[in-house]
Amino acid sequence: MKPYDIISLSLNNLTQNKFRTFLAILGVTIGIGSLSSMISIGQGITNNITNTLISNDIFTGLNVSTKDDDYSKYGNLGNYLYSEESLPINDSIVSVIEQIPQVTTVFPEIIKFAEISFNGKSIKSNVKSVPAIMGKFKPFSNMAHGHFYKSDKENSVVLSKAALYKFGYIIEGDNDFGKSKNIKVLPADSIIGKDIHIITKIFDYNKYNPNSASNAEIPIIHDTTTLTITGIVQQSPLSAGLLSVGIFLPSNTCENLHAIDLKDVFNIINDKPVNYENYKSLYVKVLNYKDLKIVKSKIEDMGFVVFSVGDKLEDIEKIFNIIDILLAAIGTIAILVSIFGIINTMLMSIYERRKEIGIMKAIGATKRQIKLIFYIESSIIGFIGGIFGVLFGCVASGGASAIAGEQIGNLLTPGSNFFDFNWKLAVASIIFATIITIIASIYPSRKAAKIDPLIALRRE
Amino acid sequence: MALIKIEKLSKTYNKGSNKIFALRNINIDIEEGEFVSIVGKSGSGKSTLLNILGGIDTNAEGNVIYNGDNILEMNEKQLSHYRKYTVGMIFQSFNLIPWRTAIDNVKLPLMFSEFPRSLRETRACELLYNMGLNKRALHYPSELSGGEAQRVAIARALANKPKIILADEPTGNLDTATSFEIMSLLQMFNQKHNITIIMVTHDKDTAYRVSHKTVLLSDGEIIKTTIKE
Repeated sequence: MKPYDIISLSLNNLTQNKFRTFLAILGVTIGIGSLSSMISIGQGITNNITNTLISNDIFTGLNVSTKDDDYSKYGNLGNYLYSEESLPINDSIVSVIEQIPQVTTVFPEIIKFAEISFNGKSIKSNVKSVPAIMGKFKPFSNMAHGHFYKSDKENSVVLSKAALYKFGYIIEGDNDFGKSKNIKVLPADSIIGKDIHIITKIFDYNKYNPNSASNAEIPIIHDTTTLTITGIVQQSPLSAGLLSVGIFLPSNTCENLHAIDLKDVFNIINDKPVNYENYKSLYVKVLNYKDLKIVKSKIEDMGFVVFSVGDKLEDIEKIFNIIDILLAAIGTIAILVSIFGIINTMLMSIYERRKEIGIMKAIGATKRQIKLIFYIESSIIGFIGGIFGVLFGCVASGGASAIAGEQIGNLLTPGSNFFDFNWKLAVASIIFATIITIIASIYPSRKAAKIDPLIALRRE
Repeated sequence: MALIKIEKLSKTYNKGSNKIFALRNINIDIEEGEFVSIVGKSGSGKSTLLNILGGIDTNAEGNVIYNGDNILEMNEKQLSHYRKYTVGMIFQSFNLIPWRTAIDNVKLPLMFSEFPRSLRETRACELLYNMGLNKRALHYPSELSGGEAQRVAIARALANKPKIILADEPTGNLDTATSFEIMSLLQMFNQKHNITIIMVTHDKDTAYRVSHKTVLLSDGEIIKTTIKE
């Protein structure tokens, strides 16, 4: 029997009981729709969060610190402050790390605590030194408003949206943060070019008396630096690492801020040496996050402590894999239900058509031909159900994505979807639907092929 | 040499601990071109014999030799080939597929025999024309009279040009006039095309009238064989 004849016979059979065929297709549609939408949502969330992290350059950064900054090694703050076991991080170390081929840029992480005043409002926050060269990389290469500073000597500052929010402002048209009474909406133009005042505290050596009582007040004077806001950087609340401090200053400008360092103060009070040539930590940027492990191990071999969010990527991926498996398991239940539906439909169909099968065998049909007719019938159900399932899955995951987007959309890249319904998933779903319906029809088809024409034709 | 040689054919059923003979030691030689009728009362075993000859029932003892091969020892593939090309079956209740038109019913065995698709329509039309059904080709079985449905069934049986037609009470559901028409058709194919016809019927008069050989069965045994001179 030619393939055309088998297909034509199968199609004819399917159109005989249209409602039954419709229900069988509906079963596959729901099963495949559920499975594909679950997979698409799982993939979508995974890709979205991973992309958000990657786009913020979180996985390409390493923080290098001295061993005495390794909190895990020392159980309490006292040990941390008085430890003398550190390897110094200085400019020569910076130049050694710069020589590692996979490293793009290295700069000391200078974080200073200050009171920052903008537009009449003040907050207390850290400010961070970020060299002008970082303007080439995300997220600074893709500023939300304005531009990143061009030189390390500029009296400029770049704010993150989150830092701006701390001042009580959001930018016009920005939906990343919730609105409340205390939050004022400002146009971006009214922020760019405005001045910001950084008020730092300096240890006053002149008033310091080493013989004073231990509970005596530490002598402090205030210093104000005025900088101009050049840009606002997009910052997702998921951002970590480099973006964890939302106020960025050019390297030299930040270095020149006169600010007290708690550790230095304690060292002075306790007559410990203070080395102003050494840095507390370095930020190392690698070309590709895949190089992170190599660079990390090279720096660790030099005796430093290295931390990177990238290390956590595998853990994050593991968590998402578990989520994917759970979602797929839910979809699989739907598929199992539709498989049983197919088996039941086919068995019913065979029961109703046993006389017809008997006639076909009496006029020369072989067991194989009978089986093929039923395999093709079920694969047609699977194929059509698969197509509708993909459409259903696409609509369902799109709907779910829209609802999820309203709730947690601001956590991720703006305009992003929570589902990833690509053509590969669509094609795989249709093929899968066709295969599982064929598998589901193995038992019914064998049963049909075994029908004894003698018994089938005897029934009237 | 006989076209079909039935030797010591017996078939038994087990009913509880009792062995019941549906057929007992049947011996018949059927020559090519012969019109053979098997007559007997209900339960005499005549339909069982026809099903064995049609390769539908192979669960029997003895030999049914066609072309040197024992039908009872054929495998599934050989049996299917035998049913497809050697025999054509006609049933009392026509056994047409209700959702296929007359012409589609005739085309069905041509599908299984992989008869060229381009020639199927012509072949089926020709057969229906010979049955006087050229205007009923696109009608469904439910739209046909009993006589017309049986003629479609005959056309279907003849589709693959079989050597033997096996007819199981072909006029059982028909009125006298229509029965006469059907019998005339069978006779015509027997005489004109030299097709061997083996017919089961309870109508002895018709059997004796149309057949070369009439076999009378009772309780599974041949009690009389009449050969027309």
